Amino acid sequence: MKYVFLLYDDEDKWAAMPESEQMSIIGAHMAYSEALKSASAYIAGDPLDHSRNAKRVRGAQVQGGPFADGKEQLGGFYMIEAKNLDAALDWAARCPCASYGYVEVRPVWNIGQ
Amino acid sequence: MKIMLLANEAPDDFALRDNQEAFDGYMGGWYAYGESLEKAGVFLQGAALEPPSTATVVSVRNGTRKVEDGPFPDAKEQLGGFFIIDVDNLAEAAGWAAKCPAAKAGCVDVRVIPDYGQESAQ
Amino acid sequence: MTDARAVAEQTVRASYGRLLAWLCARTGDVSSAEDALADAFRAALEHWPRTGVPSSPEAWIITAARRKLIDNARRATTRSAASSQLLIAAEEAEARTSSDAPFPDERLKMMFICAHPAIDENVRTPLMLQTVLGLDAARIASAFLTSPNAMSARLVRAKRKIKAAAVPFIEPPMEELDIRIGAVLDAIYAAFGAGWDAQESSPGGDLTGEALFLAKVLTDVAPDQPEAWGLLSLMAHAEARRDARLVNGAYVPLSEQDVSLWDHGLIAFAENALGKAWALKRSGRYQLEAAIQSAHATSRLSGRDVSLDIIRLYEALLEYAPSAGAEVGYAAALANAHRHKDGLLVLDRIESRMITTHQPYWAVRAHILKAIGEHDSANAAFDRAMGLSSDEAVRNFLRQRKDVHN
Repeated sequence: MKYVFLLYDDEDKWAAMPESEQMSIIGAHMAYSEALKSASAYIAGDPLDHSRNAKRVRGAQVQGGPFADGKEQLGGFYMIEAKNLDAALDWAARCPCASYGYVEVRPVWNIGQ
Repeated sequence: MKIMLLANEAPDDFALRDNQEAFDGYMGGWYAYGESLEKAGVFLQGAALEPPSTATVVSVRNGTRKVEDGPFPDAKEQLGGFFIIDVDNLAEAAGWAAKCPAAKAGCVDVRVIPDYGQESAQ
Repeated sequence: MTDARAVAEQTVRASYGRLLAWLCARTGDVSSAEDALADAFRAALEHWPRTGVPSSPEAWIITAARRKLIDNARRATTRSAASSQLLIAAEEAEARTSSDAPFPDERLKMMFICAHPAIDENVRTPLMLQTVLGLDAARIASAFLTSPNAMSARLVRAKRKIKAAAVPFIEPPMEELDIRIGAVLDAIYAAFGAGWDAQESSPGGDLTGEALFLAKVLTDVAPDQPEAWGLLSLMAHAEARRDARLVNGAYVPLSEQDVSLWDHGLIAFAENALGKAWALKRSGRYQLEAAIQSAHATSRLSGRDVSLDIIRLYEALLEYAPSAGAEVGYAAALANAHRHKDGLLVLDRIESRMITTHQPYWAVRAHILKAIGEHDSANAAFDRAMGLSSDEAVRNFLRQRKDVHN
């Protein structure tokens, strides 16, 4: 089963963090990605640039970001392979973002042949 | 540059997934879009997602794990799928976003993936 | 052949939960399993009167349900590739049924999945009632004061999530077992409380019988879980006093109830369950609440003063499971032991946002204030308690207490 992790965190809190703390979190993400790969669970993953640089396309219109209403914004994602939801949740809890923000775990839609 | 396109669909579009008659038309639009991304050599990764009602939120505070049904954002349009593409600039990315089926009835978010020298999404 | 029909209907009632759980555990798809089982039962009611009751009625039903699942998988909707997995699971079920082994009871896994943390809290109890007991959405909806459509929608959403997100049909690992069992127990207890206030206004509007049955099922499938026995005991004690609680439309508090109206068989059952819990030597919230009820019953039946025991039990309960409700009970226990000032202190330390709509807080506060002669504050508290009561009988009782002059 494939699951996508959507990583949400408070961008203002991130910006206010001392660089050493930011580096430490980035390091934690790299270690996490390695752990996923070692377990053959990693499929994909990337950080996302600040939401103020985002664009929203609606028909012919283009708006500038950010768009989400809450103080948490989407800051990155992972796509993983896991046996079932419990296994996926275990991985999600290990993601550093779960500790300073939250992780939304969404199953990938396996479209029928 | 690497870009993440987030396809936000209206509830009516999600409903088409369960509609026997409309399903092929709905999927046809997505398959065609994916093919065009591949033909243009920009496609890196992509997936359709099960609807938001199947999502679960995980957080860890003070070493304690919290698992809950959710999240429940207020917006009418919800994430239904995503694409990772490799393009020359934001304008090109916005162009691809506009061609995405979700741009018609919903909206498509264009997010830049910064290059920290990390491995690209396969 | 009316006998065959009767057997079919009896099999439905008695084994619905077990057969559904067995099918779900193998397909991971509650909706499909429900549909297939419903079709199989219909087929049984149609065929058995003609062909006679089969020697193994449950095996017959499972075989029919399996066939239906395979058929549905073959005519798979466009929605999901998981249909092929369904087919495989269904064929696996066929291999299973061709042996004569009895069906293992998977209802514990079913209950764990209904109370899984990823499942919306508001739908856990309804899901359990529907899948383990086979209650229909309309009945569940009325007990929870929701419309049948809203309840159906919630149930459909939950079942879709179980399938789409692959919430697993397993017993949780050791280290999570206590918390997960706790969630199951909370969901069962919520059924017990649902419609409690509506007991007299709409008989059958409550689900106390169903909740008791669920608790009994749980102790059957998880006999090594002391909190399950604790919950069973707690609910049985409360149920045993049902007929004494409301007499001629008037609410009667426990201290004044006519004990001859108590169901003493059920009290014995409750005590037995509590004994089983204690024997497992692992205390918990429900065991302590049951022990409190047991002490109240003992006190009325034997005349013994158990007020100190009850105070100690509440102190232990507050360690295990602090809550506004437990604090209020503790305050009442202190007041019963003539420690009114201490009771008031306990009430005062509860966060005000927790008690703005908590009827028991105001009722207990009113009684304590009256007992210590603070009549004005007592009257205000009585009014507040009445305003928060949804039961006419309780309002009348409070009004009478308010008006009594010592």
